[in-house]
Amino acid sequence: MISTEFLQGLLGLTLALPLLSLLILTIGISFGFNLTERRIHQLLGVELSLGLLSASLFFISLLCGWIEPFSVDLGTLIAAGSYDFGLVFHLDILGAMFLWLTMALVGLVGAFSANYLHQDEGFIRFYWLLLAFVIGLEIIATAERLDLVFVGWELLGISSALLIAYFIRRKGPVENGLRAFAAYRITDVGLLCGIVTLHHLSHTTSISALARIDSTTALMVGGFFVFGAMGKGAIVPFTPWLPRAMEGPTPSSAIFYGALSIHASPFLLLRLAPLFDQHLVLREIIFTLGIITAIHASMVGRVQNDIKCSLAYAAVAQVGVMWMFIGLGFYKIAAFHLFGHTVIRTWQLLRSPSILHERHQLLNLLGKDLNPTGRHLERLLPLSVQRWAYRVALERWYLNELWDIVAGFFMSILKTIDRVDRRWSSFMESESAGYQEEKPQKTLTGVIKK
Amino acid sequence: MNLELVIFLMIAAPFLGAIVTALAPKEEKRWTVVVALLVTMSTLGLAFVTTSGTSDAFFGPLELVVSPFTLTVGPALVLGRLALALCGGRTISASRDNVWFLLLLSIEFIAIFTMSPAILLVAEGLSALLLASRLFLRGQKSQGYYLIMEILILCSALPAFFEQSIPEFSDMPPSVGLALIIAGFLRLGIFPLSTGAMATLSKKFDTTALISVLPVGGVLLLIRFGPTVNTLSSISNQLEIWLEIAAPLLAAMAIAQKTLPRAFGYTLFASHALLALLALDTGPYHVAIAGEFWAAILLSGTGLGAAAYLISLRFGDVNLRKFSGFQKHTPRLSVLFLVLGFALAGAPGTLQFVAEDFLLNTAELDIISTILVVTTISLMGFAVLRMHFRLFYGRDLLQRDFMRLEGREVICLAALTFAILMGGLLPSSVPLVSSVRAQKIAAKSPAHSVQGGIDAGQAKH
Amino acid sequence: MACQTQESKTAAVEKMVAHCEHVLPGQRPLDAFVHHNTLHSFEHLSFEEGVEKAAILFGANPYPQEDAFRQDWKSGRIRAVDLDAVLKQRVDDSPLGFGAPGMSKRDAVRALMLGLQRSDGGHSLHWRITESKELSEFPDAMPRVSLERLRDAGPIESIQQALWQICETQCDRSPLPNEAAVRPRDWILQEKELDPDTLVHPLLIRWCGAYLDGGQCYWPMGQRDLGFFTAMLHYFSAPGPVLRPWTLPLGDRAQSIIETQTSAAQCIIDTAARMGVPDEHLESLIEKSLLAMPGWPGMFVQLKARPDLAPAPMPPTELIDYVAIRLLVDEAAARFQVSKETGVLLPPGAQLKRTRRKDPAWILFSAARLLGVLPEEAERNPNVLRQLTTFLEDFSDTKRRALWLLAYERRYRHLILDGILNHTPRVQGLKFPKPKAQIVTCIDDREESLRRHLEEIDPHYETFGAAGFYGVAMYYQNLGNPHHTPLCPANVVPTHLIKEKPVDPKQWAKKAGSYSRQGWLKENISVGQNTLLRGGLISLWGWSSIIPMATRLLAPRLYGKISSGGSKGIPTRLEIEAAPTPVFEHGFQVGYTVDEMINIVARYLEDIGLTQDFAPLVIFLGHGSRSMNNPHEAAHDCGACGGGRGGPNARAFAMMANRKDVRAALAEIGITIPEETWFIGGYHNTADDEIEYFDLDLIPEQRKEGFDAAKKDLDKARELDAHERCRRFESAPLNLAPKAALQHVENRVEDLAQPRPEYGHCTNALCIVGKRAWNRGLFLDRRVFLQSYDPAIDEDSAILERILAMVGPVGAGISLEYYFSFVDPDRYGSSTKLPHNVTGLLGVMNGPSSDLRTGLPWQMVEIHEPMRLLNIIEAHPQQLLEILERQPALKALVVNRWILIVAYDPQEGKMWFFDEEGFVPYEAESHELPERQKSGDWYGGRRDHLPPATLTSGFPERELS
Repeated sequence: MISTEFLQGLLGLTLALPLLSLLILTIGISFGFNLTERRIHQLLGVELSLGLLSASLFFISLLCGWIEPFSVDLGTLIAAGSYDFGLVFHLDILGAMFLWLTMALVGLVGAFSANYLHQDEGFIRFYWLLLAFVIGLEIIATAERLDLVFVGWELLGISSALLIAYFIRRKGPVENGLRAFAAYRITDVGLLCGIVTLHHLSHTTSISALARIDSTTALMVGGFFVFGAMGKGAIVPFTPWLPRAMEGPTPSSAIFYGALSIHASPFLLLRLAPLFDQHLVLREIIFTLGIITAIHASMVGRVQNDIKCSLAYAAVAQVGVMWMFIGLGFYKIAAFHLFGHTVIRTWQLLRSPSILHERHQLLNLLGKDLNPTGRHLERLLPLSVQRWAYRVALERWYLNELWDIVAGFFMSILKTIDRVDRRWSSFMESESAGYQEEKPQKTLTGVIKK
Repeated sequence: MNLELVIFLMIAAPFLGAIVTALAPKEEKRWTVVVALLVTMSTLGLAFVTTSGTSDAFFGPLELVVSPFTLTVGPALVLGRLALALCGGRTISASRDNVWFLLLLSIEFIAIFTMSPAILLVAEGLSALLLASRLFLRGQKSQGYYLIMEILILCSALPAFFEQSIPEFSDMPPSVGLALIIAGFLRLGIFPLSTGAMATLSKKFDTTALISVLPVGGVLLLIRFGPTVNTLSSISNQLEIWLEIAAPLLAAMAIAQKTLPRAFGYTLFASHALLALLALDTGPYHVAIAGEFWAAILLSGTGLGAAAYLISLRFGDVNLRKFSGFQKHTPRLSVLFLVLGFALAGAPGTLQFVAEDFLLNTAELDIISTILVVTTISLMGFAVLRMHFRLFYGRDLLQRDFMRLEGREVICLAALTFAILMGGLLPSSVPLVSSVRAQKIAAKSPAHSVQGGIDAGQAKH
Repeated sequence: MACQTQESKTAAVEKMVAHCEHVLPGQRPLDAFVHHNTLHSFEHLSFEEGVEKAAILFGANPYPQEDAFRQDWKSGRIRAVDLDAVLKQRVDDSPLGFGAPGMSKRDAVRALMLGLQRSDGGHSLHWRITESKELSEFPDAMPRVSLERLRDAGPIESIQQALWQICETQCDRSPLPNEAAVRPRDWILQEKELDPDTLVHPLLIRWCGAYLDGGQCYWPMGQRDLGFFTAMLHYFSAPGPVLRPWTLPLGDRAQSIIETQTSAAQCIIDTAARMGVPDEHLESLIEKSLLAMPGWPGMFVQLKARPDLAPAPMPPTELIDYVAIRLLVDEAAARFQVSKETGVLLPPGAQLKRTRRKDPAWILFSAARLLGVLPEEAERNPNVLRQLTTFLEDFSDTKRRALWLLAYERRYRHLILDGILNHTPRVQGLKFPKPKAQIVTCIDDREESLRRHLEEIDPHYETFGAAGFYGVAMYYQNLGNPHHTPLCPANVVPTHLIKEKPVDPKQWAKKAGSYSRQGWLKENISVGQNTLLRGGLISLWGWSSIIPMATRLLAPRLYGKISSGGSKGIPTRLEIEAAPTPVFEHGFQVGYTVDEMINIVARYLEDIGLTQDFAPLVIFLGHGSRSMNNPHEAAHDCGACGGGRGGPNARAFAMMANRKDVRAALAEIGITIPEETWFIGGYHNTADDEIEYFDLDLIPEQRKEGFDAAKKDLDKARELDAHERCRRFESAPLNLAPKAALQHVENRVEDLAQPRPEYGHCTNALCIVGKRAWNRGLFLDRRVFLQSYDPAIDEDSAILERILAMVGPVGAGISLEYYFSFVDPDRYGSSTKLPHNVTGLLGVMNGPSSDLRTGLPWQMVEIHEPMRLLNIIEAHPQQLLEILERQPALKALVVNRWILIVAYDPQEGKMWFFDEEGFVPYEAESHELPERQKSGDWYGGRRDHLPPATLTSGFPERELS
């Protein structure tokens, strides 16, 4: 019905637009053009509404079966011998759905942020990172090669970490941005190892070729990928970064950690589903991780007393449920769940500063106090267990502390090595007093006299 | 354009510059002379990349040849050194340091262009000698000792190459090859041989220290002799295990550091270790791609080093365990630091990523090695972000002194960043990686591109 | 005997804890936010002394930074006359004795204020000297004498280098005196660079949040009724934290405390002893521990003082419980950090080193060159630099900033007082017609523009201002609300409860049923969304919320219209009259007796001077503010209603004043309200400028027409009001038409993303107590609290006294809270609101885990001018002095200069400013006042603060022609 060339061109354009906007923004910043908030807003508005239009077109047409999934080849980054880094993109229903979500939610949050971040010192930075984020998500949604997916994945990680640290003057956000990035980097090892191993074993990283892989390879590669998807999805034990990510401004919390970024993890699993079909153990692992995460997040979420953390844990609980669905092989339900949950959680987070207002409205409607919640827990559990469970939940299963212990262990080893190294060098420099950490402040007169 | 002449100019220009600088009467003017010369050279070098291709001819007694390899690394080297010269600051650029600096550059050019292993070794030895003497003069003995060790190794290996009239790398005795690789490791700061270089960085962090940890000769030794050593599986396995342990360890060490120079140094050495690991591997395009990888490290390493140097010039010894909040004072430096740092760590969109991805996917690594290599990359990325956050973010401790970047500093860092990003986003603009050229190289020689050049040269003789 | 000392010791500890309350912020739960002086507990000191002391205690800024003042100097906000006048008053004119000849001390201070540079020293200074051109040129702000002296002495660079070398070698670099270490944490931080607080705070924040939760979490903390101390001990002794080794010993300790039934005070004593803190430092330990994280314990204190303001019934919140737990956890964390070594937490006599933040050499150098000290002079005579150092200490950074603030305030004062002095004669000659309606609004600064615009539209309106609770101090329960909220000034605890009742209970029953069904659905969705199973099911259909989300974000006004659905609810009445034998609910009397009503109405009408010449219509407007995305919503509501919305107060007052029995009683005491006069209550929403009127169905037929006309004019006025407000919003174009401006503010209110729905009291600077007659038609830029007061009916100043006792502290609270939140947004304010995270429905944190942030967010104060409130009172100085003698709280504010007062006699055109020496006659500097026709002509196209101007369009026409 619609010519393939047109579709391919449109997809290419959709992918290129944010890149173009990013380029304009970058040039604007670096050459000191007068980028007013209004102009940035317009730039993003045009870009995202065009993107949303085409994404809607793709999504609806694919959903209604008017068009078939199609690919577009935008050239080769490098090629040598058997290796090539092809910019091949493929659009199917799943990808189109994620693309649509990206465009719609980023568009709305972009509109939200124009007022929200009005006159904030990081206005341009926020939009720059938002664009980088859009590019990352687009690539993840449509990439046909896993190499490319990795590029998108990295963009997502870096932009997330920088947005958590958006309030650069304060120590907390920056520290937490670093923590989140650490979780990302640890799991990125899995993703990249998976890609490299896949390349070695099957000489291609094309997603369409995943179904043809033998089961032992699938187990190994799939294991890497599952590990790789754990970080972004805040799956246990990587959950602690998520509440920490709530340090960013509300819109970025909404779009990243309530919505798209955290759902990139089940999306990746859905993309790689053919691989998991090859080996049952993989699906069992996914299911187990999913159910543990769901239980953890649901238990911890119940005792959170601030709005953003309770929303964060509520979101993870549902991501855990999606993992469970994928583990069970219900891919379509998982995708549908993802679709609905992404939207509703964004909406909830955007409203989070209005919670007092909403609570008053609710009380006025009800005409009485809210029903007490959590009573069944109190009724069912004996007091000592209750205390224990409450404490464990409030302390978030001590997962933070778990990571502190792991990090502390490695750090102590590294510091020992470092100390030995510095002793050795000060021995060679024949400094008797050992390596000097702090140099005495020298007076500046000498400098002038010269 | 006569290639011979241009190459001669490229080597002679810094040499002349050194003489002029040494004789120049007014101190203040010295750095402008240096800059002018280097700009000319770099323009010429960069012009090469776009206009001419490879040349098959030997030039003169130094056996110089223009290969795609030299064309990638040459401009990267010039650009990097130019950046360092520009970032030197008022007091340093006004001193006689530049004489030494230019002489070294001249020798490094010979090392890059020459096809004769003997001349390579001599050039390498000379540069090590220059470095060592300078470091001893500054009272930095440890790196000096390491360099003397390297010179000794080179001297002992040298006779092996003079015995043969025509150098054939593949005929080289394995022990000599191994010795040369270890000499290379000494310069690259492969753990545990990193101590000397690290001491240099942490004792006095300036352009001299930076130049001494951005080795040219070391990488050349590795790239030229590595494949030969690699044919000897017993030794190469040992080397590989050594590197596999060293690389993630170096990257992790960068995270544990308290001072900026050391954190930067470990990140740089980790990327060198990766280079060594991947360059030792065999494969039809490997040497060529390794060249590009090296060029990328050279560019981003110099850039990040220069940025770190500019910070310590303004803010002194920064404690990386605390947040310093320099963003307010130098917002541009913050962005450039981040991009250059991520480039060094191989983030997507940079020159390094392209080369790294290629090498990773084509190198014959087993599972464990893959995990270790990937871990290294991952740790480097984290180390860079940590440095960036700790330096630029947080509550600013300084209130009054405003220390914006100067024009020349912005220009040189921006030029490096631009080169890296262009290389990463449009890698085909770098001749080596474009498929056409790679195939051309492949057609010439089934084994190694460098040897391809040598073979052709032989045919002429 | 021992037992007794033990007892007296615990009593002493209890006293110490109570005494330490004053360092904690006094902010109430968000719902009941009310402005108060951030440094309320320092009011017994003079302003300068108080802010400087607090600055040291809290590590905060006492005044704006000198750089900011210099910016104002450059932009002309502070003029040379202002600075000179302040210096003349504060600095003597004797010769300096060193530096450029002929320079007096006063000149020297002026030079320092304008040009002294600071540096943080170290490497950055090194860079400045070696790499920048600092020494090769002179700074811009050099006094001419110094400039010439230095320039004549030799080449610039060599002179400056020589001077620098001398300053560098001779400056006093001796370390600052040490401070005794009181908290083990400070000691450990200094010695080991480890901060135990990073362990303690996340833990305490989580538990405090759980304990004080006002209904946010699904599973509330159990056993809260035991009190914080005991409940926490029970939780600590429960098994669990294997992964967190440092809290393990805490479990055993908690167990033993439970077993021995140690009290909280005893526990504090024990813990301090275990830490090694000597007894004489105990109070200091408690204070410092509280200050390490003041927000949460502050909430403990507030909830204890006013439990009725909590969002949900609260468990006991004793500060001493918190202190005991805090010290327990502190000890455990500290012990963990030192465990590897001796185990001593705080060695006896431990000292904390203090470091200099600024480089003394550079300051010395900068001062020396400003004052024209020659290098050889300094070298020859070491006394010169010593004298200079002392001089710099006398006029330190803080002292200079205090001087700057005085100049800054003086400029505004002169602008306003001159404006008034020039304006009064102009209006006094006018004869205003008999009003067709009288409008009474709150004294709030935001109502000034509404009143001005209404008067401009038609001179037949008379306006009054008075504290917006209209004397009706009550708990109010609106229809459908299960709770009652206090609507009265913050320091009053009401005794009456007023309820809103439906006119037709059957109609309401039907409606209430549908409401509660809606509510049930909403409750289930909002609670269920966050749980596992219900949340999963809900989120399957979550995509449908894209529609409300898109509408709300892209067309907020439309969404607001749809969601309110046009339904205005059903007709209601306030249950105002008490039953013959008063009924009590929750301990409050329901309704007022007639006598009480008479009292309220009489007193209030006297206050505003409306005792005769009643117009046919008298409209009382309460006010409040509704906005989205604004946890600090209550801060925009009526301050006189304790952060509530004053509509019901106005409504109740109107109902009382309309009663025949009340009027009859009033007539007896001389307030004759004509029969045709009708009172109407209304509510002005200051965020979207909507005005709602109550009980319109009761208006007598013959008043309806008049009301419609007045309503039309008020609609026009609120459009213009919105228009004037929009000039302050950066995101509203300056060329908006009034209608579009109204739409703009309506959009802002519904906009979920709008962090500045309105600017609230921002820019408030002035308070006028007096007749409107003499300031009518004067443009005061929405910066003024206008209290109506008629001295003619107040012979013994009793009315003035009660007005001032009310207005003084409220005005001071508002203006000082803005002052402090602006001057130090991080310490006193709550910084940017963008990362705010509502916790427990009672406060905000920054991000997921931080101290409770108190004070105003930056978005509320960003365009404020930090000044003390200037009060202009229509009275004679003697009268005011007498009142001050009778009102000690007010006296403290005035004499300690937390507010500034001016006595004004409009008849004679004389003013007296209350200076440090007492009232001094004020002399005008300027005798010109710009004249425009309408407000719009004056403010149109401008965003900045505007000086006063006379606006003639509201003047009676006879005079104009």
